[in-house]
Amino acid sequence: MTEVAYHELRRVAHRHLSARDGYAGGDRTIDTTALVHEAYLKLAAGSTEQWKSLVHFRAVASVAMRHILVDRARSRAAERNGGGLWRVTLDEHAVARDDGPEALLAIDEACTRLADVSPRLARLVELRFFGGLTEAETAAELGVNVRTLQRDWLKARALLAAALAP
Amino acid sequence: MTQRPTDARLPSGERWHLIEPLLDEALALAPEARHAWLASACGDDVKLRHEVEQLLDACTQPPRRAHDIDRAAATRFASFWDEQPDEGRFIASIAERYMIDGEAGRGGMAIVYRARETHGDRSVALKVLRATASGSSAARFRREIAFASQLTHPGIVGVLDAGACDDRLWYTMPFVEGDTLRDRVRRDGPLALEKAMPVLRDIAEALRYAHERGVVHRDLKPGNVLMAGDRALVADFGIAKAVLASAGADSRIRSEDQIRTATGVGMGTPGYMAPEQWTGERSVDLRADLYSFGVVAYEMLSGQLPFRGDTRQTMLTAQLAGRTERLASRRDVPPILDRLVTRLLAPRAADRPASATEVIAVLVRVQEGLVRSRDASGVQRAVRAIAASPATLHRWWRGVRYGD
Repeated sequence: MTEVAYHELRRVAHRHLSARDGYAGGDRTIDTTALVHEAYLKLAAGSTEQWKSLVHFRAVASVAMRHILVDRARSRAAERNGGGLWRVTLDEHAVARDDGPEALLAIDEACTRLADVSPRLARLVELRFFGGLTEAETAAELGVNVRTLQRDWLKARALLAAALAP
Repeated sequence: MTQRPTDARLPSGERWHLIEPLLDEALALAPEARHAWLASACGDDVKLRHEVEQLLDACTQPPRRAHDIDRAAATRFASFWDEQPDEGRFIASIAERYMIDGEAGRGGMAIVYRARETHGDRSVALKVLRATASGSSAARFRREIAFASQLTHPGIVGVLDAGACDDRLWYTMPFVEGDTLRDRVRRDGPLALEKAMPVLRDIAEALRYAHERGVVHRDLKPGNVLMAGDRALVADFGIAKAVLASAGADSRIRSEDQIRTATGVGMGTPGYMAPEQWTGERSVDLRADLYSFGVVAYEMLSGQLPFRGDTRQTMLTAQLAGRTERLASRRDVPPILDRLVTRLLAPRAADRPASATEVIAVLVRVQEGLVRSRDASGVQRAVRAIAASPATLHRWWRGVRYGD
């Protein structure tokens, strides 16, 4: 199921980015919400029960998006170590190093370690950070109220920072 | 905004079961009441109190920018959606001319796809500059297209079509079905002399043609020789330097022995490239290709490389010493071919043949020799057959007289 979402999300992302033709090298942002909604509509149209609700789909999609982004970060990091081409591109676009592939890979790894300590908080990070769900959506998916969710978010962030501490 | 790293450490799952309820309670209190409450809740377990306090600190501190998870990953790392999408975008925009079947290879600078003509059914190899390529790579790719386009020869995998699509430079070459020479030698071992000669001749003719146009291959090796049936095609004039262009000279075609590259960078494949390419010094010219051609010939006929070494240094030392087992001692190789290969493998470019034309002249003589010996063996067969049976003699004689 995650795999289906993985492919659909990538396909939609391709289309979104190609629709931006003419902005070469310019705006690099992507409307994640629109992306996920479109992928959902496509998948929901094809099957009746698998995708119960948009919120549920977004929960599945968050795992898929984590995979997509981490896969890309890995190959970017490898490319940078290997060829030096990406380094040039980085300089050209003056992308902050905090947004480099290593930062994402570190968070991903920390999130995996967090899952050993508290699976629930790791899932929260997956939904909100990797899946881009809002507070309300995350609370609905996890079945907690918003206040609890806010407190959990503080704890998740603190544990993640602890895991990432040098 | 403070950005000091947290002192907290990630607790074990077991420890977290103790810490989490305390943390929850503390967070529910007003900030100024938290520490006093924690002190009483933990009693004399100073270690626990310390751990909870550090995590409490971390909860109330804004995260370091690098660790910021408040902004969704897909937004914060939006550029990561890019390269794959760029490929999708490229594939979509080239679709009116070519349908991409799959990826055939990927290098630092370019990606090669296997594709079919959309309006036609020719299979092509489509090479496209990577989306992340730098400006200098683009310039080199452009040069590569320009030089390869000049080469139209049956022994060279040439450029069919080129263009820019979605800001990406691309060109197509015929997709050659079949093995490379490397695959063939690995699978079947050394080639018989009669099989090897036409292949060597094809490669040499391709080199002559390119050299006459000022293009040096610089990376000739069995992996770059495509076998289409019995014909050999030289592929990937990719790192070819247009000698005339880099010399900044006029576009007049010069005689082969005047051609020199003035570039100092050693490019090529260890084991196949000439010693002067290793050291990257002075002039690398068409005689570097002739050296590589010598290595290819040696490998085809013996199944082995003439020089071996585990490191760059030992390989270069062996190449500079120039001593290798003579081909003639191994097989039915005629002495003139053996001498040619030895000359091609000379460590000093000046000691090698001066041009592919000179090499071809020797190859032609070897091929003529093969034909003569085949004719001779045909006569021998006839004589043996005649001796065996008078009836055969009669048939043979009729054949000679009446052309039966």
